[in-house]
Amino acid sequence: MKAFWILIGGVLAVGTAQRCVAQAGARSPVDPVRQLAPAVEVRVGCVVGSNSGQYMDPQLQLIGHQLRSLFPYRSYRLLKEESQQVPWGGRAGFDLPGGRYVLVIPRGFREGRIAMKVMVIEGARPIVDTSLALRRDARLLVGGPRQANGVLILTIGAEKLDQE
Amino acid sequence: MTDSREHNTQGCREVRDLLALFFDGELGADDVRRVSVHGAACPQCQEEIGVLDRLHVLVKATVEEKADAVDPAKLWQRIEARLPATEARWWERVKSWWEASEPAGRLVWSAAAAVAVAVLALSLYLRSADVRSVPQAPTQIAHGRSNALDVPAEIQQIETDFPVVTVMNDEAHDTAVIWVSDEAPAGGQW
Repeated sequence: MKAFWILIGGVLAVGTAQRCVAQAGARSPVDPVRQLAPAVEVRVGCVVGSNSGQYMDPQLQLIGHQLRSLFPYRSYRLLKEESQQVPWGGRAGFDLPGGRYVLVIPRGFREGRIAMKVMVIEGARPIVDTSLALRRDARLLVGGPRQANGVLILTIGAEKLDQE
Repeated sequence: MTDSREHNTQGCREVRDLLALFFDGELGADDVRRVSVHGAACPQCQEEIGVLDRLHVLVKATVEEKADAVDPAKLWQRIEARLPATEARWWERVKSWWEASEPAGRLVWSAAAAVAVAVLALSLYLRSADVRSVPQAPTQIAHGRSNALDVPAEIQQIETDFPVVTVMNDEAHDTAVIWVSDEAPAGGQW
């Protein structure tokens, strides 16, 4: 009888461990595809635009003029900038302030464009779920969600690593 | 003194039958003369004619006094106020207004209505053709490769929970913008 309970406990333990591994793998940066050679570098920047003061973050000098011309805010601060290298089909995940998360999946390169899926998630709410083909050297800005006293503006770019 | 028998002669009865028409002025000249001649010769009939004459004068004076007190301009308003309220339907009001209009006025209104319809149709067309579409409910708003080939980003599909999605390709800066919010941003190039 004791052996029976040990057996049942072992089965339950293994099942629980498998579920934990599976859940962690869902957002893990080391999915099986990623074990392939990286082919794309994905860059994500997290900017907050607001009307508190008059400020342009020095780290945003390359796109500062563009931000001012596109959006009506007086102040822009870079909260975070990060890049990841992934193979085609790999997942580049980025945690953002405010409990948000960005997932970029580069799918392929065709006619000078990187096809990718971009998901911006806040809790269980999909802020944006889009599929697009981004021209080489082009940039995608995703903005609008409230962030502190301003709005969140994400800068997303991708660069192909293997120059064919 | 004349007795009642004399007053009830054939002539008295005929005159009494004519008195109503006499005071209404509806008798011919012969009958008027007849009533007058008989009244002059018959004291009873003359007295009756006198009573009726005073009554006629009194009634006429009273009616004229009341009539003078009435303002004809306000009479219809007072009558209308006492009528039971009846609400005409809007198309009946439009129809009556249209029928009361001058032909030239109808022409002007017809032209104005045609222009308004054309402007509305044009604005709806331009709104549907605008790539910066603004859906009113969380929904999937874009499908297919609708962008030109040289734009920074070919947006193939967007899904969001936000009620407003604005998409813009800023070719000058090689940038595509997806803006989600409860309202479109003010100012700038939007």
